[in-house]
Amino acid sequence: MFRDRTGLYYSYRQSYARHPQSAPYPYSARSSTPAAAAGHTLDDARNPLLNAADEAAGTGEDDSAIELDVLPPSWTDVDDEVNQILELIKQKSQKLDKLHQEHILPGFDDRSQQEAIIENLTREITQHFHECQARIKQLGMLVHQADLTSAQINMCKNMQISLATKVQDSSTQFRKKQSAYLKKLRGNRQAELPTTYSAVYPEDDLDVGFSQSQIQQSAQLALNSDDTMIRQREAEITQIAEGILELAEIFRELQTMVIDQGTVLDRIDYNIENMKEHVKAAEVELRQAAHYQQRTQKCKVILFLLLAVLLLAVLATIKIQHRSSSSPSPPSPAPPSTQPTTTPSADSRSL
Amino acid sequence: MSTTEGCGLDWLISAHSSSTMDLFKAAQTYVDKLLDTKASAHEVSGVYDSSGGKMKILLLDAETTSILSMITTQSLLLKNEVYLIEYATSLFAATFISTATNNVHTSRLDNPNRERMRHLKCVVFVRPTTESVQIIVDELRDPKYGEYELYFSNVIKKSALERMAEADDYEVVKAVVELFADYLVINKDLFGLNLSAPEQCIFGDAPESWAPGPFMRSVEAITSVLLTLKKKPIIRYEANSPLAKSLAIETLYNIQQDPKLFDFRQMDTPPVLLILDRKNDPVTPLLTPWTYQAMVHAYLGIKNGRVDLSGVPDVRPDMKEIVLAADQDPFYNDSMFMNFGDLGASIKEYVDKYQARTRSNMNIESIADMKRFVEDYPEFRKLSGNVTKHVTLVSELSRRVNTDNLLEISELEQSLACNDNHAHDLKQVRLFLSHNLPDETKIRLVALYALRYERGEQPSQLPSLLDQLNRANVSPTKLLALKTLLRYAGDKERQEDLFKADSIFSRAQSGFKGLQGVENVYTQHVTLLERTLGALVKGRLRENLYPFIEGGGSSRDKAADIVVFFVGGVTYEEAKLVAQINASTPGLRVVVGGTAVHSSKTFMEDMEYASTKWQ
Repeated sequence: MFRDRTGLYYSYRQSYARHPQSAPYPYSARSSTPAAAAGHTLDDARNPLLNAADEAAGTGEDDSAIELDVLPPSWTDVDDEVNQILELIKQKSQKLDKLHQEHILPGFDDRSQQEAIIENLTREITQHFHECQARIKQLGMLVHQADLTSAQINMCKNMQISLATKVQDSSTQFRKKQSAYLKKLRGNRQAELPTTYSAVYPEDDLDVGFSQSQIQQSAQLALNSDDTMIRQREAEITQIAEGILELAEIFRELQTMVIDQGTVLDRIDYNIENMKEHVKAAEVELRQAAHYQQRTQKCKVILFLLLAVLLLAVLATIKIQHRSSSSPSPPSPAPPSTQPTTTPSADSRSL
Repeated sequence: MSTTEGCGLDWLISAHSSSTMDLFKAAQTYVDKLLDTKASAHEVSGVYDSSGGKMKILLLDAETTSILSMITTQSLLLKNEVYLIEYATSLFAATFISTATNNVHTSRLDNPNRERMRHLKCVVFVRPTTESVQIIVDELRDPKYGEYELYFSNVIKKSALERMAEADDYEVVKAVVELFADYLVINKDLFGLNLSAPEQCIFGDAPESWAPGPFMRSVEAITSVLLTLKKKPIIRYEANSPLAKSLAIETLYNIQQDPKLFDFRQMDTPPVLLILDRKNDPVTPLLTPWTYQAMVHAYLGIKNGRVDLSGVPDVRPDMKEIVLAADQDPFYNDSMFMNFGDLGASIKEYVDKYQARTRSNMNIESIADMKRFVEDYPEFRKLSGNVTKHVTLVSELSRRVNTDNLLEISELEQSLACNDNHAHDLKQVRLFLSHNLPDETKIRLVALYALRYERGEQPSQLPSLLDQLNRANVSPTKLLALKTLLRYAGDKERQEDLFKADSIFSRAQSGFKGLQGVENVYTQHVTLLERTLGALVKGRLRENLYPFIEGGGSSRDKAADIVVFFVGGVTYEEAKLVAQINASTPGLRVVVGGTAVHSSKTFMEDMEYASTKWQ
């Protein structure tokens, strides 16, 4: 059991209320510097208004700095964005579920329109997952920004892990739904094409599922038969299978970010202990990366110069050879050799 | 003020209504409350509300970090939008500097530990100590975060509440809640503290006195467990133990301090809090254990659910440190009380299962295989990590069984503990002392011999054995610890004849049926706790040895809900016993705890520490 003490606390707080209009953070009235309040004596706290006036006069320059930390940093929007996209995905996949259920029922009327909607929805959802992945990746890039403080870096990383886990859960769900639909769809198709289907596919393939070769085979099958309905179905199935593969890619990438459960990495105390070391390590890495980058730039320049020198040297030797060989009577195998020499020499002149 | 006192009962909200005494489940309700998971769950399943999903920072102190780590995980925190977790204590050091320099601007520079981020919601979970209250007071004077929720792991004093309310000028505190989780949940029926040498040994300047800090900590832990389980017990203690008695008195005082808090529905048979002293059973921690959890603790050491494997030869880098948590690891949950032989069979089964899964994952030929693989992958990965973990552990244990001659040693230990055969035992002990064994093992054997034959028909040969140890260059501090052990838990100090009932009768005496079906030579010993609990359950626990605390009520009924607390440390052997009793006896619910969870190593370390204090 637990005991809620909020009521008692509030009543204590009310009994201490010294300033009636004590709205949370009266910034305009009281521009407290972060440390000013920490240094308050009890007396100061009892005369907040007086104190506030003093401070406002004394430390006006801090105003802008204080306002900033009230707003979350812009990169935290990613959290909202991804959550919103996930919500969208959720709604759409619910819609898709309904359509799937309708579509799976056998019918005679033309349903190409419905199929188009399903196709669109599926594509949109896959697109959304791509967006999520891109956002999360972006967040990862942000960690390497120089102006982030260590706490922000930590937050950033943790947010990334959290979002990756959420997207992962959602995409797994979606993939499971898709593959279930795929199975049903194939079941239907088999009913429609009892002869051709069972001829092409062995019975137990149904359990194994949908292989690459099957995509090809079904494409061939669709081409061979004139039945447009079958062709449509085949296209549909191929598309879904491809969609699943596409999602699998996203999945694999995100999986590297998710915490392995049951390991020491998932321990709160371990993470706190290692937080500071991690930040330090990250800093070292960053510096090293910058160093490498500088070095590669230097290397590039050196390489370029070396190449230029080499090229010039080659040109020079060829030219000397050319002159010495051209002064006697021009021989017959000259044309192939002259052509390459003239063009570089023209280049070198332009250089 | 009186009005708020009047509606005190309204604040008593029952966190869980189940009648089982499962500490993990109870802890889960605390985590839910702390993280407000219901709200987040709603956000996930229902309509997304952008204003509701506010990012959180969690402030902990050193002890609540351990407490929370035992009952929840980092990923669960992240899932609930807790993106930062920090120690609250770093602020304490910083404010100390600021008051010392008394310069506003330097103090700000000196205080880079936590940045101001008022877009965050701050969830504070700390023990209600004077230091943490001071930290919160300072924090509220100058809030770094947008709003605050204060959770305390135990009863918070009204005066402290007033102090915080006074400092809360900005009215940033939105909730103040007491979550009674002031102890480490180790198993679902085992709780503990880390009160052991060298940092926090329970012993004061004499064997009869507590160290003040660990004493209060123990009282708070017991109070908190009782509140978690919603029990207002009658309290019994071991008559010969001043430590147990003072703990019982203080606990009763605490309960009587806040009668409204302990105003639970009366049950037919009142719950019992039984406070025992380790000195009445010094044998159990000295014996070589043969069950999984106990063995891991004995040879590798379990600290807050973490096991350090960096000393194990040829260990994989990702297995240098592992986590053992029964609530997250089904294999561990099933096998933690298995003896070593059964464990071998069980781990083999586990590996076979894993191999079957690997094989099906290996032949990825079609898209369908790939798809299935990706779908199963997280689960597979989890399984693979878990299999590696347990295989590493078990192979290390079996290596130790061989290198340390554990089978022979254990046989002798059991013979010492259970049979009365002085001549044979003495010969064996002498023989082992001449072998090349670790000092700890030699000390343990001599300690068992000394405890067993302290008062026998034949005169004890302890002096000559000590002499032999001396000649074998066993360190003097360890010899001193051995003497301290005899002073602490020798025959004169114990109230019951520990070796009275030899193995033939002891099982029949305890009255618990269905415990440990097959006996083998390595597990003959029966803990004193089994006898004590057996008597308590039947209502036959003798009142002169286990008196009721005065003014705390008494009952001659058979007890059904029992909380046992070991002053001086519980062992995993006893935890196993309690788990087995809970599983095999319907209607009986026992929870056991102690100032620490001892292995023979940590037990002797405590003795070593005590020998420096008790001169």
